Amino acid sequence: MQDRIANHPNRWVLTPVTGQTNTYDFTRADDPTVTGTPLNKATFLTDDTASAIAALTGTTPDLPTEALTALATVLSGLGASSLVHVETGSYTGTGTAGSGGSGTANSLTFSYKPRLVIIVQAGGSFATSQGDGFMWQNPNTAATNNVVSLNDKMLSWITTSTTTSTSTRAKAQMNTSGQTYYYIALGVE
Amino acid sequence: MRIIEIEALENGAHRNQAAEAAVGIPEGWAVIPDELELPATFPFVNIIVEEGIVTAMTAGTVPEPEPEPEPEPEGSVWDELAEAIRNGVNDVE
Repeated sequence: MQDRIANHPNRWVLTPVTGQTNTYDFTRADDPTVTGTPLNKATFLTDDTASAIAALTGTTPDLPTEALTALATVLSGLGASSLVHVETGSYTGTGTAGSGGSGTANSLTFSYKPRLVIIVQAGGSFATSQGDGFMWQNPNTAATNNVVSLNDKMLSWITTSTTTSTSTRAKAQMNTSGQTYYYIALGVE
Repeated sequence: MRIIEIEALENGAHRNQAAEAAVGIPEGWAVIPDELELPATFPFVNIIVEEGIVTAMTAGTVPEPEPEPEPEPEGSVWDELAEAIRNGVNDVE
């Protein structure tokens, strides 16, 4: 919008209406250099805008305040239903591991139900593979070598390796003793 | 927030997690206050927990790393077979 800019702001010419006592016509006489945006219905709420909002809400707003309220309601609904969560953190490996997909599992707890979890070993190279809707990183073993389960907001995984070496299985389970692992998780509500 | 499983694993380590966001505390886990210093042996630690919060943490015993499995000697079987053939062995019980 543009303000009106005039050489004589608020100057009006009053012309008496013939035959009517104390009645005048007002004529703007401010000598504008910029006319400015008119303050009318088309400026505040066009029919097209009202129709577009009606398509979202089912109700045609008559006033700008009704239109803004309707939009606020729509945006609020979007925020509640399509909130994207991103969560990061780390854990320190314990050196333990399952075997053959059972036994001692690793787990991570989130503040929401994750859709995608990536775990990366500190200082490790990055390679990913996908399994059961989750993406995993383990520089030494494919993610398919872990049984992954999700219980609400807790993700657990156990290696399927059956090697007799505990440290090898722990490595496959992304749980090498004392090793820091970082994770990032995404979720949508 | 950093959390830790109260019960130690069979090797003395505790499962743990450091989350940037506030997460629900799983059953059997406790919160490690930020001001509590982690021993160098973490997650091999001894902890005291009061009402779901770790109030003390001391260094635990880090187990000796298991010896690397000895690699199987490559070709030894073939070498032995070749030697046996050279010696005229043609029957194995």
